Amino acid sequence: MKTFFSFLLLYFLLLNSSVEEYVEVKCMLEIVNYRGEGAYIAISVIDKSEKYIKTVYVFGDDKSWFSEMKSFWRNLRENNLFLDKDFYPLVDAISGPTISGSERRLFQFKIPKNLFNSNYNLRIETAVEDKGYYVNDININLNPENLKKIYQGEGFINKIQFSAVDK
Amino acid sequence: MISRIWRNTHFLLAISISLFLIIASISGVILGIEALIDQTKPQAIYSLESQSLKATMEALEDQFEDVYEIVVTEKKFVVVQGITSNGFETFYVDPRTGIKIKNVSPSNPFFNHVRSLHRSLFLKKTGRILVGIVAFLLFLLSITGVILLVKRLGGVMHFFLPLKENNKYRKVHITLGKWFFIPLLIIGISGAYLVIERFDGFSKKESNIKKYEAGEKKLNLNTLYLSDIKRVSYPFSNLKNDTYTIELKKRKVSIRQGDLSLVDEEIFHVHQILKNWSYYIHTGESNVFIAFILTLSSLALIFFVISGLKISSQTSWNLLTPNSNNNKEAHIIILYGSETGNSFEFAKKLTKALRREKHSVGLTSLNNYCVFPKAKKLLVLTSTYGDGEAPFNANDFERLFADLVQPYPIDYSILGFGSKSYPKYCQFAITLETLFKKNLNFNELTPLFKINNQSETDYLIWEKTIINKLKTS
Repeated sequence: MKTFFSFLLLYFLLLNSSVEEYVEVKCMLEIVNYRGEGAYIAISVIDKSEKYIKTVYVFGDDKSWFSEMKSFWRNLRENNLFLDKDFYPLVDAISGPTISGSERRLFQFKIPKNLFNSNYNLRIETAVEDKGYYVNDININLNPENLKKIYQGEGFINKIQFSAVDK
Repeated sequence: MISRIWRNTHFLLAISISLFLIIASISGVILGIEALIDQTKPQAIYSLESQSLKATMEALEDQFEDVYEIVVTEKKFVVVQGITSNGFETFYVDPRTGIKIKNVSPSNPFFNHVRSLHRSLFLKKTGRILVGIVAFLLFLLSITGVILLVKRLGGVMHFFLPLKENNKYRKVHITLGKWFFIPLLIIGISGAYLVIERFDGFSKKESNIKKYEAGEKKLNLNTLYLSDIKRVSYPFSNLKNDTYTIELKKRKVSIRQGDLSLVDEEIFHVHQILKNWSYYIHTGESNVFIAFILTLSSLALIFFVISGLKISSQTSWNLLTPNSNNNKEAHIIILYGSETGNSFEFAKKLTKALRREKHSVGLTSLNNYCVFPKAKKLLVLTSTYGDGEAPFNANDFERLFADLVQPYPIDYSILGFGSKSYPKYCQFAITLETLFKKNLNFNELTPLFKINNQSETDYLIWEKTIINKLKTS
């Protein structure tokens, strides 16, 4: 009987550790006022050496223009994420179309909890056809404190506001 | 001369873009069908005109813990993004009840490829510019086409009369022209505009934003209907000063969530409204009738190109190439006046027949009339253009005929081509006959002979008479 309970306990421990815990982040993104094509935007977690750990959100549903987001694109190619079963459904299903000048979007993305406070950064890169590419439109250290603030971007992002919901 | 300019412009435009037109029209048919299919989907909501934003927001409150955005697409789908008991979700809703209809699924990759081909030939920016130019040329092509059509039918008044035409390709081309020139004009110009807009083709102006004091003006959500709305973005938090932004067809407003008073309002420029209109009319995404017309027009365009190429292979190449001939040595000169190439075909046939009889024959158009040093016989084959006028390669003949004097007296014979369905049947041939009769250097070989609707048997009768006459004289 004792062994049975200890097995059961072990089982629950394993089960719990295998379920990934997420932090849900509510986000409001406002684009600067410009004319022309909509902006392509990728939100990713990167490490100090700028290696991509996970892409959590993408705006822009025509993949033929992903190459405009050069750094994001390089990661896609080098790691063969085209065929990734987790990655592409994300891009296809969740991501919306591009955001045009002076528009605003309210959305939510999820970041695995274990990526917090481990010296990772949240990078938002933006690209607009013929108008430029900003690899670090937003680049902030990934910690709960930083995800409660408002930022101004360097490129096409006029304003971005986060609020993390710890679950 | 004028009609020649229209014809040649029409022909050269068509030749230069026919390949692109085929690609654009085939992909256009597929996209038109997609637009039609989309309109039959359950998430296409037809009562947007009577569904107020207020009622929609209230309905959504029951179904969502937190609403982020409402989007009303061109296809009349209502998409809501927000938090439900399942977490963050995006799906199509029925705005009357707020209830989910189905998940937003990724758009069909096949149609996406076709759309990409239609917009940019898979060539990104270069392709878009090309497609834009082609769209504009299609617009010009429709204009020159209409001009030719009106001339061919003998005036605007004859536009709706039944058509007499024996050549089946020409018949298809003209009939389609009657039916589809308006949609094609619109498709061309709206398509070109969509491309120009993309490239920021118009001067940049400061956006037209008006700011309001707190409480100065309020927005009544009860009288704002979903048919006018493109997107509603909800406030970020519960703070009283956080705003909704509501993008409408012609303006964009932000309102405070506390008292629904306006913060600012942006009135869109004309170019934005024109862009929306072009999108509406060029894609037919939100209107089944337009989508249907667009699909039909694209289909028609395919047949336009095919019949046009067929006609031009019979006509325009021939008519553009000059005649190299032994006109200086020939005893018999055959002159033709041909608008569409039929009379020219008969003239070539006659040339062959006479050469078989060992005559020395020269062949040229009426506009190439000159001094023929050894000519004793002149055979004229001509059609009539429009309302009794000369075909394009005969419109200078009258002047030349008056100016030039031939060394020998000449026997002439005239063969007129026409259609009895027109009041001025073979009018140009009759005009020529009068001219020849007035000139004392010319004698009638056989009387004027008229042929209705290019009758082959009638032609052979005339040809036989001529051959016999030439033997006896």
